[in-house]
This record gives sequence, structure tokens and C-alpha cells, in this order.
Amino acid sequence: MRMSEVVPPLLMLALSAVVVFGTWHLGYWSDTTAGPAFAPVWIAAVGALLAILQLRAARSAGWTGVYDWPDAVGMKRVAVTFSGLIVFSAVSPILGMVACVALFVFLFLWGLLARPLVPSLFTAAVTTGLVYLVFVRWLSTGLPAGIFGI
Amino acid sequence: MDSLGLLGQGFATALEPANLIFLVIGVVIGQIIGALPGIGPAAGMALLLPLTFGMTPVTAIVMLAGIMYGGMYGGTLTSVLVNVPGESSSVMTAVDGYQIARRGRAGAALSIAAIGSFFAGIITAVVLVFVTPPLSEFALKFNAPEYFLLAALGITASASLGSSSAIKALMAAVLGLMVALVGVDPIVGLPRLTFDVPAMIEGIDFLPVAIGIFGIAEVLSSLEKMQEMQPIRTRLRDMWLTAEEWAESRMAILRGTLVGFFVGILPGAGPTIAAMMAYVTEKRFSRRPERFGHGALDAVAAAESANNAAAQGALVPMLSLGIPGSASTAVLLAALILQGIQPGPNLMTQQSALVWGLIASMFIGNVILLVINLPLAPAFASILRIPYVYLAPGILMISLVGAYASTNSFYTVIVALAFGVIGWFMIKLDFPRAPLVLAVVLAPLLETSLRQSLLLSFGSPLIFVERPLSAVLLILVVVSLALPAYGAMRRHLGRAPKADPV
Repeated sequence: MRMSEVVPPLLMLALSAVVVFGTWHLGYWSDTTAGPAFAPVWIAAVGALLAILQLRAARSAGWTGVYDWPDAVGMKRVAVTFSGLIVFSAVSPILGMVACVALFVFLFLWGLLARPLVPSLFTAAVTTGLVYLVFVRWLSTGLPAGIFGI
Repeated sequence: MDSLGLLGQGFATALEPANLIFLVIGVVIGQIIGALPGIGPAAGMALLLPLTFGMTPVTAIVMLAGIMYGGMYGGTLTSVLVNVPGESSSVMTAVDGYQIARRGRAGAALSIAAIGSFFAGIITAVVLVFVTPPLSEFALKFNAPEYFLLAALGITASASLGSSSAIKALMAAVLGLMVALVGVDPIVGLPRLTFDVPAMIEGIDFLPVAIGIFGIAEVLSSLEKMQEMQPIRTRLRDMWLTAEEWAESRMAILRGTLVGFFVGILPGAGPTIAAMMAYVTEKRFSRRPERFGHGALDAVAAAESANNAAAQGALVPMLSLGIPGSASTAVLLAALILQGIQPGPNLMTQQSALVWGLIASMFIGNVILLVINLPLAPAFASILRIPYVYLAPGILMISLVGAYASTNSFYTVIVALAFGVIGWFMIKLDFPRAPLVLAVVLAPLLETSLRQSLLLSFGSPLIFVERPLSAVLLILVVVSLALPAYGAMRRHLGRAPKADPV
């Protein structure tokens, strides 16, 4: 059995356990009808059953397909991009969301993908302008302004 | 008032300046999203959902629906000119369309795809006019047991029809149901699975889940391999079809439309399955099936007609029953809920202007898309020359800012990021994402109607077989689960080593 085939059903089993133990105290049945734990218990039971079936299928049939995992460069790009998104979320309340949009787009293109400076700056400016016009001006969303006040 | 009278009122609504402007914006965005590999119509709709907060319900739904069927037209461009499907429902178009383009007839492939999509779009809109009202009226007889089984059917059918592995699809749906359990119990109001985190009392919204699962996950996946596209050039004068090409394709358009519509109204099947089924059907009907896979224009005509008919056909169960049949209609349904509108059979009567405005807008939208895709196709093809890397960070930023804008809280941003990772792993591990999203949308209806049914029957599950309508629906649910199990068993038996004859 391959790791890729085993991990998802094991996670589903763990989630099913969390759902049952996290809701059991709420009551499965009350008087003549189902209680708040009724649906969670049944959903968890189905989840556990499917997880076992998936584990069985992986064990008995053997895995013949090929998963399309990225190569090292692709994986690094995905990981750095995702880390950048987490940093964006963490820094937005301090620097302001609009300023962080400009920073993220520029650093993504120029820093991570080594694109030329001018197109990177231009794309950052256009994206930031779009976000500002749509969310701040049109929808009047109260985006975090941060130290720059925008 | 009869359907045609209501449709006339719908045209008056759809032609109001704001609705018309956002319809044009919607179909153009749909066309671009469809043309860009790495982001599909459902993702585009989810990303733009926060923008609809500032619109009236009609304007919002008209724009989002425009993105949905506009994406079906746009996918053709990349399939034919680059041999990369712009979105999954254009896979079959790429098989033959690119071969036609290599022979110097890219214009003919784009033309027949546009004409086929237009024909399918208009016919489906006509069918919607006449089918949706009686179906909706019939659905008024439904009660809690029928709604529970309809919601269950929406989930089980999406697993059995739309995926190569039914177990994986059902696991995705169960994950969606678990996500929807978080928050406050819908009947007695007790907090459930909130783990004493105040933000989780509100539950996990559909919007950040859809933004993460579709938007962020798809962009992350497309960043793995950076390929600059080199589209085959096409000119306006190449768009004319010869009489022979037209004769070859016209019946394929008709058959593709029929197949697409019927597949589209099935829950969970969607435009990709429709295009594949239409392709296979057309190959059977063709006098020269050996051309399929080597540049058959009728193959392109059938696949493209089918995917548009299916995309719009999925609106039948959504508008009449409140049950989404595809990921795109799930986003559309979520948009209705976000606008404070309760979907279901009463939608036709309580929100008549919205429903008929939407149907009328589909006639107008398909005409706009025909114009975009016939004389303006070469101009739109130039979009494919913009490297995707310049669009990716913008899409990611709009995803996160949109998630924040929906609640003015970083909690939704974190949820969107978490589901972005989950969605990326689902893509990598070959788990379908649509059942998860459908389950999140259908879970409240599923649980509430189940518990109401048991309340009506004093706890007896026999209520689901005693009522004729619910018995029929129960059989359909069982069949939708039994079909993939039967298929898996046959595959298993076929693979088992045969005993040596003695």
C-alpha cells in the first residue's frame, strides 16, 4: 500500500472519531426525535465505513495509478507561495491589506518567479488598484488600514 | 400569468441597465476564466461572490450565471489553439479541436464550437421556460422526508456519476457534511464541534470553503509547472465554415444538445461528463468514426454543445427544487442564500422577477457570447498570450481579500487558506472536490429535514417508505449508491485471477 492511499482514509477515521466524541454529550435522541448528536454520529459512521472500504480497496487491489506530484522546484514554488499567503494574513493588520496586496504580488513575481522588474511592478500596481477600487471604494469594505492608513 | 408572459417580464428585468451591464461583465469574465487553464467557472464564481454583496439579487445572480455559461464558451479557445483544456469540460474539444487547428482550420473549430454552444444555450433556456414552472409546482407537494431524500440524492449522485472512485467522492462528501456540522445545531441551538473557539460558533461559511477548495487550490496546482502557452494564430476570415463542414456538424450539435441537457439535469454529472457522453454518442452515430481523435469537426460540435447544455440544464433542479446539480450551481445557490433568498420550489412564485430575469438573461447572454466568439474570437485568443504567472498572484489576492470582505474577519481568511491546502491535496490525491462543496451547501437542508421527518413520524424511519414520493426518491438514492458498487464489483471480478481448469 502506498502512503498516498493510506493517509486520507486514516485521516477520515480520525475525523470521524473527533466528530463522535465531540458531539456525543449533546444527546443522540431526545423524546421522540433525533438530538443534536444524531446526524454527527451517522455522518461519522459513514465516514469510518468509507475509510475502511478505501483501506481495503488499497490493500486488496494494489495501486496501479500514478499521482501527479510536483517535482522539487514545483513543490518549492507551491510551499513558498502558500507561506507567502500565511505571512500576508499575519502582516495585513499591521501594514494594511491593500499595501500587503502590492507587496505580495511584487515579491511573488520579482522575488519568487524572477520576472522582470517593470512588468512585476506594473502587475502589482494594477492588482492593488483593482482591489482598492472594488473592495474599498465600491463595496466600502473596511479592510485593515495598518500603518499606511489605506 | 403563463410562462411566455413571465418571460416577457423577465426580459424587462434583464434589460435594465445595471443588470445588462453586469450580464456583459459576467459573460466576458466567464469567457476569460474559461480560456485560462488552471481556474474553472466554479472557482471564478466563488472568487467573485464577495463582489455581489453590493448588488441587488437579480444583478448578482445574472452576473454569476453569465460567468458559469461564459466559461463553457471560453474553454474552447485554449483547447483548440493550445491543446490545453481551459477547463475540464473542454477536454474532449482539445482531442479533436487541436488536430483541426494544426491542419489550418482553427477558425472552423472555433466557429462550430461557438454555434453549437449558442444553439445548446438557447434551446436549454427555452426548455427551462417550459419545464421549470411545472416541476416547481409539483415540488410544492414535497415535505420534509422528500427534501431529506432529495438532498441525499444530490450528494450520492454527485459521487456515483461524477467521479472515477465512488468511495473517494463519498469521502469528500462526508468531509463536507462534517464541515457543515460545525457551529450551532439547527434545531435546538446548542453549539456543536466549536471546541470553545468563539469564531466557530458562527460555523464554517460556504464562501471561504469554496474560495479555498476551488480558487486557491487551483492556482497552487497550476503554479507547479509554469508553461508559457504558444497558441496557434487564427484570423477572422478563417472563421467561415464551408457547406460541407456545416453539413457534417449540424446533427452533432442537435444530438450534443440533447445529451448535454439530460446529463445536466442529473445531480452531480455536470458538463464534463456531458461532453464525454456526447463525444462517445457522436462517434457511434458517425459514418466515419475513425476520424474521431484525429480532427473531427462533428466531435468538437457535439462536445461543445453538450457542455453548455449541461451547464445551463443544471439550473432546472436548482431553480425548481433548490438542489444544485453541479459545483457551479452550488455556488449560485450559495449566492442566493447570501442575498437572503431561500431556494426551493417557492422561489418561482416568491422571487418571480429574479427567476425569470435570470432565464431571460440567458437568452441575451448567449447572444453576447456568440458575438464574442465569432467575430471577436481572434481578439480574445490574444489573451492567451498573457503569461499565467502575471494573473496568478492577483487571483490569490482577490481570493483572500474576498474571504476577508465576507465577514470583516481574519477567521474566514484562515478558513480559506486551510481549505486551499485541503483542495490542493484533493487535486493531487485524485479526490473530486465538487461533492465536498455540494455537501456543505446541502447539509443544513439534509439535517433539518431529516430531524423534522423523524419528529413528524414520532421517531419512525418508516416515514421514508410510506409516502410514495419519498419511496421513489429512496429507491433513486439506493440506486445511485448501488451503481458504483456494482461497477467496482465487476471490475474486481474481472481482475481476479481465473482458476485453472482441472
